[in-house]
Amino acid sequence: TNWFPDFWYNSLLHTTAPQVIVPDSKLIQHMNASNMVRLRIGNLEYMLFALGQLLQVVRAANGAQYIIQPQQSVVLQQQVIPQMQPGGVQAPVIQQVLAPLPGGISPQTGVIIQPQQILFTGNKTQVIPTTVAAPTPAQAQITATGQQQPQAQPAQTQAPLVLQVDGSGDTSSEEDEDEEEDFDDDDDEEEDKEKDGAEDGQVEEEPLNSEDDVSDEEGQELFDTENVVVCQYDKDGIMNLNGRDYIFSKAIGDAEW
Amino acid sequence: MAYGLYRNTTLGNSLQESLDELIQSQQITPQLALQVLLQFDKAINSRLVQRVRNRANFRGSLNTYRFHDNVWTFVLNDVEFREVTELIKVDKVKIVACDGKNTKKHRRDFLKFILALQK
Repeated sequence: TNWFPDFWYNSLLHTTAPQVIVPDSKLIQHMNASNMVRLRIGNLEYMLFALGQLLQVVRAANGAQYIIQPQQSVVLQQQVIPQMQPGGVQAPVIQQVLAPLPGGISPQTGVIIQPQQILFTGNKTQVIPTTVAAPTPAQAQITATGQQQPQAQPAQTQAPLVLQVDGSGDTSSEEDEDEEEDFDDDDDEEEDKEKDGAEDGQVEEEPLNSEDDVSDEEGQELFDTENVVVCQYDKDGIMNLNGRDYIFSKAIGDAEW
Repeated sequence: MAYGLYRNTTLGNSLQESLDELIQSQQITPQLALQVLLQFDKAINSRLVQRVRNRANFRGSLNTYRFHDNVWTFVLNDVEFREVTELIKVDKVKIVACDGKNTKKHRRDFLKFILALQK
């Protein structure tokens, strides 16, 4: 069974030029089958690790496998699985990504962060933040960065991903998971909040401002008793006055406001 | 493309009511009724231009004015309309005026806009 939403498997994570190529044998012995999944997308193979690191697998002509570590690690965060084993990885390259989480993780901690939907469009990477409704009230956000060892390489060359704790991810709201409409939800929610605020303001101020309205409604009971002139400006028209129809090719008038 | 402006006249309303009756009794389809109304629009617009030559004047007080989507809407009070033959007084009148010039230009521009969208 898949750990992650299906669309993750269908998405392609394509990163910038690889920085390190590590021979397969070094890695595999430290990999734990329970925290790694192999993906094949098109012609490309990937290894997706529990903490979200996605490594591309390249097979050489002689059958050897090479793991390419992308220069920037796009951190995908997911629900902590109780049987995940922290630690146990000694390869310096991998440790950067798979370092044990600080303080260990208690199985009771339900950590839901927002998975990012990665879309592969040509050569570009698009990261579309998505939201997942949090099943537990406590939302602890954990970034899988190595903390026990000094970073061997600069972690990310681009701006770190900003995780959202409010808005659509808010547990107080009843919003369902909306994968690609996150932005719309945010906008709608902001508008709703503003409206609520405005209404509250108005209720308090109504006694004060109610005298400002002088005009009555223009369309009070628009019966046909109301005389109507329909025309085009600078052209002809038809009038219905006192129940009779009149016509003109040009009408000119004065009215003071 | 003529305005459906004149449908809200005695003539236009009578036509619409008749068409509605025919639709109710299922003697014509709604599509046909729509075509009839479109033809009415064309006919009345062109006839007004061709056949009507008289002028009218009016004077009153302006209650409200509105300009939206190129349509003027006025509400006047205590208005006197003057035609050559007669004088008409009303307490309240609503004047709806669409843009009479450049109707063809609007259609052309609209088509251009649609085509541009598809590129």
